[in-house]
Amino acid sequence: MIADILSRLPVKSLLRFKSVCKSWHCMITDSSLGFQALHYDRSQRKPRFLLQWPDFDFRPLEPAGCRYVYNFISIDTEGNMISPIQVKVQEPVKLILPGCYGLVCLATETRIHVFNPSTRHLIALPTDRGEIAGFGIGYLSSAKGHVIVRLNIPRQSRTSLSWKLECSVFTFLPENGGPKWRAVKDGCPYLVEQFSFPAFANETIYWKIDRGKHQALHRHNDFIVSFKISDEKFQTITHPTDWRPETHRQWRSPVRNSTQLVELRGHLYMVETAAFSYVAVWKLTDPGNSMWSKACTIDISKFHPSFVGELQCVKGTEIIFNSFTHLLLYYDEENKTSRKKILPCSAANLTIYCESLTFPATQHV
Amino acid sequence: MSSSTDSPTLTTETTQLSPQPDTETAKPTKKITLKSSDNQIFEVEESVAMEFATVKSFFEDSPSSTDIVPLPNVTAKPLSQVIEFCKEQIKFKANPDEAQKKKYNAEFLTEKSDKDLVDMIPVANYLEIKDLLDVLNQAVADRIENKSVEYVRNFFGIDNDFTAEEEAALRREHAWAYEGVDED
Repeated sequence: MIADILSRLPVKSLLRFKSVCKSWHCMITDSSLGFQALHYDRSQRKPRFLLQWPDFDFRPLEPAGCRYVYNFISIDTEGNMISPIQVKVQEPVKLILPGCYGLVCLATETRIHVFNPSTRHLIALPTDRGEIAGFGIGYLSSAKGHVIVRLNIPRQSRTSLSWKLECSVFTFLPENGGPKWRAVKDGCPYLVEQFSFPAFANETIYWKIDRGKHQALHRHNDFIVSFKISDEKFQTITHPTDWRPETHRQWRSPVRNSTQLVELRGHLYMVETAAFSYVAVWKLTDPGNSMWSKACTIDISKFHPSFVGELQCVKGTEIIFNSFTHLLLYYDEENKTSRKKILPCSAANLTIYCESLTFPATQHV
Repeated sequence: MSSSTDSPTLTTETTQLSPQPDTETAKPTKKITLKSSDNQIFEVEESVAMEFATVKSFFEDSPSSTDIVPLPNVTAKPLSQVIEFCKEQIKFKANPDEAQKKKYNAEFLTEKSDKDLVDMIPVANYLEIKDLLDVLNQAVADRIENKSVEYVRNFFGIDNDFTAEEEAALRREHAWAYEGVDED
């Protein structure tokens, strides 16, 4: 009875109620008891957004590791403010990935950090060889643990099509032999777009290939490179046959055409945004054979292009987009109607996550 | 199973069978008699009693039974409130109106004391009334979400089994989670 009631509460309340009594403390903190899973199951139905204030503070007098201070506010999908959150890191943050089972992954030039916005735990993962060419986060259900994947810029320049990016993985699982990166046998056959978001679905992380950086592709329509975290193998996936890549650029911009990968209801989707015109959504129905099916097309000709950012999530019949301005855009797929919500700051840098109590216990970081 | 017109004395707790003003009035409704642990008798319409999975299975197991259904874990007050709630839900089942149902549920919950809610939960649980259990658990969660640790202990009647040092350490660990809490 108590577990069912408490599983409906936000993490902040639960962290406080750990001190109600010993049995509550045990239920809330012990990940093996099933309460954390029940809680996550419920919180999945009410995603939240981390909204990043455009400026960050540089505090040179602070100890190393927390000189760059970023301010966020967490909001619900209706734009209601929940709480302010601060993150302190060593170097400027380059990219923050959408949350995966409660954890958000963020990268600076040389380091990847794992952050739980609901418990406010932040861990800087150890550094690894070289510069970060790409990264992603996944969750291995069989092991009940997160897996962080890092692609490293190789020391030698590429000479042939047999060239591959090195890849290493980081898990918080005890059998991994302590907190360190482990090199994976298979390599990544393509450079990936460094500043677009990978998506995680079906135990697989999907990145868009940085087609502009390759003179030749293995297949002319190769579009996505994927990494399955359970067997640690890379694969390439071609784009939908009814889609033309020529006019699309990698950079996010309101006035250019762009493509995005996103996970919705456990599947990978590709979203094409053609400024002043339409948003088209494809679902990857068969990753092994690069089979896509068109899920929907949304007319956005009536919207200013800065109103339509990335597709964030689907709630009921509504598709929620962030924007390049101070608003969230909701498109009702059934009634073909839309509405907007004004936010306290720009929605351009917005990260979706679900509340979770999980945080991997690591000693030395 | 005969309708129990000859049932024992009806107490004040009994939910009255007000005649339905709709077209269904012509049909005589079957009644089922429930007995609480404090020996109060409740006579309810069969359709309402069938909302209680526990009662339903009682009749499925012994279909010929005409006995009173004893509910040994359930006292009269929460039972009468549970019956009141289920009677309304039956009406919404016949005429679905989500807005009206939401409004009724909200009113039903706000007028209940903390103790009423906490007492109804084990009853809803024992009778296996899923919808009600969900509504009650959410209502209790909403009531404690922003409350202090002391308030919550009081709410559920929980004794603090931490030492002062242990409790202070827990508070330090997540000091921010203790900010912005409602006054008790």
